Amino acid sequence: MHWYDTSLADLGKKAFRPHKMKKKYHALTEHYLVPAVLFLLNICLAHTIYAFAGDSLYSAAGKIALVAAVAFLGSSLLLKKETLLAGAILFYAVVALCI
Amino acid sequence: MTMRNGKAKKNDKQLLWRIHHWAGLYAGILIGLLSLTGAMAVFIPEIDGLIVKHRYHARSSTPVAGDPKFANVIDSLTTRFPDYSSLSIHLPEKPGHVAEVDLIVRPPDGKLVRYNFFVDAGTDRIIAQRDHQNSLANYLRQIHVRLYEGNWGRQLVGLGGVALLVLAVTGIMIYGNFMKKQSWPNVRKNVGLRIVMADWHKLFGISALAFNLVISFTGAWLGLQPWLMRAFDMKTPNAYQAPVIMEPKADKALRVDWAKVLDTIRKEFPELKATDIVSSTNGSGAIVVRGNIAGLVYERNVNTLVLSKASYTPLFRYDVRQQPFSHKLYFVQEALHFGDFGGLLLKVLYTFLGLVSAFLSISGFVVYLSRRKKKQPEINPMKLTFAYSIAALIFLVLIAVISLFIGYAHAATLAAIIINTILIALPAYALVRYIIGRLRKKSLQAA
Repeated sequence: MHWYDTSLADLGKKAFRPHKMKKKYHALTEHYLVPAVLFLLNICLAHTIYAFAGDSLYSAAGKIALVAAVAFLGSSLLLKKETLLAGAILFYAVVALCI
Repeated sequence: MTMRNGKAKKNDKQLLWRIHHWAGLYAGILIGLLSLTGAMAVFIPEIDGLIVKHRYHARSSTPVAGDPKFANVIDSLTTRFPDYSSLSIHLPEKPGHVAEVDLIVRPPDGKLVRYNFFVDAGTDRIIAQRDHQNSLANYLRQIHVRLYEGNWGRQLVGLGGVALLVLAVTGIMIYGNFMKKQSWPNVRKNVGLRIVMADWHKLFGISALAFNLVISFTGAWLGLQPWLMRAFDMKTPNAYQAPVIMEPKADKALRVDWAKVLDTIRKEFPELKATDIVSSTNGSGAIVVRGNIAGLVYERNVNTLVLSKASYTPLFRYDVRQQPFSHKLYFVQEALHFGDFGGLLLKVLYTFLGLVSAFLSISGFVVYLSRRKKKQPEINPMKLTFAYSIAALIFLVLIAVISLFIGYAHAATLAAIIINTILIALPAYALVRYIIGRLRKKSLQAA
């Protein structure tokens, strides 16, 4: 049953906002993908700073890939599209494995 | 069947929430203290460097031949302190940095003293000295590593790490259930203190989850390491001891050509950036060189080269890159815990995330008190949390002042009294309240 199938009394005054359409809530995105991206962003940030630290052994291409991964993870969080979030996770996983 | 599954799931979530709640309540202050001291502890080398430079005006001139010079200083110190039991030289890490001679003196009738002498590595002269035990660097390390409690403070800190690990794991498991229809990173407004704090708690908690997992796991291991290693009969890696071949007196009397030692290190272990050189005093006639290899994520000074004092030939070499996985895992813990592998910027990130963990313990406490306010309206969550936070800060400042201006031993004694009193008083208070409650209930039932 949707909110529009319910009477005003059932919903209660507080919850009923006829002038505003409720934005669709993506549980997969909010409960799983966003936490996973945040988790990897913590790691990726530390990884990237390490790569740029004085004595690190990373090539220029590796460093660029890591910066791209930070940007990808960060922007996917801002836009919060399912495919972007999953893509960012995959991208960093590939970068971490390959460099 | 589906309904039963739903009920079971709900019960699981409730159990996880209870674990999160109780672990946070009992270990919250400890975690808050450790997060705050940890946020400062990551900068120990930098803070100490600044103190040496500005408080002791210890700056080094550039050595003419390239290698740091300290042979004359060592000769004069060993003559001045014939009762020394340990001698180590910390080499300058950058141009302008002083060399540091760490001397532990144990007179037969007096108490142990550990001196730091700052040496101009260009002119081979002592610039300044200090008592290592009473230094700020030692305070920052000891307060974070053992809360200045010498008996079992380290294990208590380890248990704090276990509690943080439990909180992080249960936190992620209940996250979805608690977010319900809420989106990250929204914080609800005009909904009361409890909900606003709970929203910030969830927002910061999930945002710093990986950091908290790393910090808690490595912290739990570093704190409980002595117990765990004893319990599982683990051996410390890189624990080579050169065999004793002469009398300790004869060992101390052997003259060392330090320029030759530095030359041998370059020849025998070229990748090693030597940081510490220790001269034996136990009769083994050995020189232990410790240092780092560029670009690796392991704790400081883990690579070792042991040389004979008589012939300067290598007796033992430990290159962490060539060791088994277990050794690497053992030595990666401290570097990961203190963020000591990515320069200053990584330490800034660690400090920020460490302060986030401190905020989590405070916000969690406010949420708990706000819930209790329903039953006990006289509670003011913000005032009470503020009072606890100030008490914790007073403890940290008091121990720091005593340690720096009176002495380490006095500070450690006071810390031990405070911590152990709290540890005994809190469960005793809870037990007394529980017994009184039970007795009241019984008397009411009887009436």
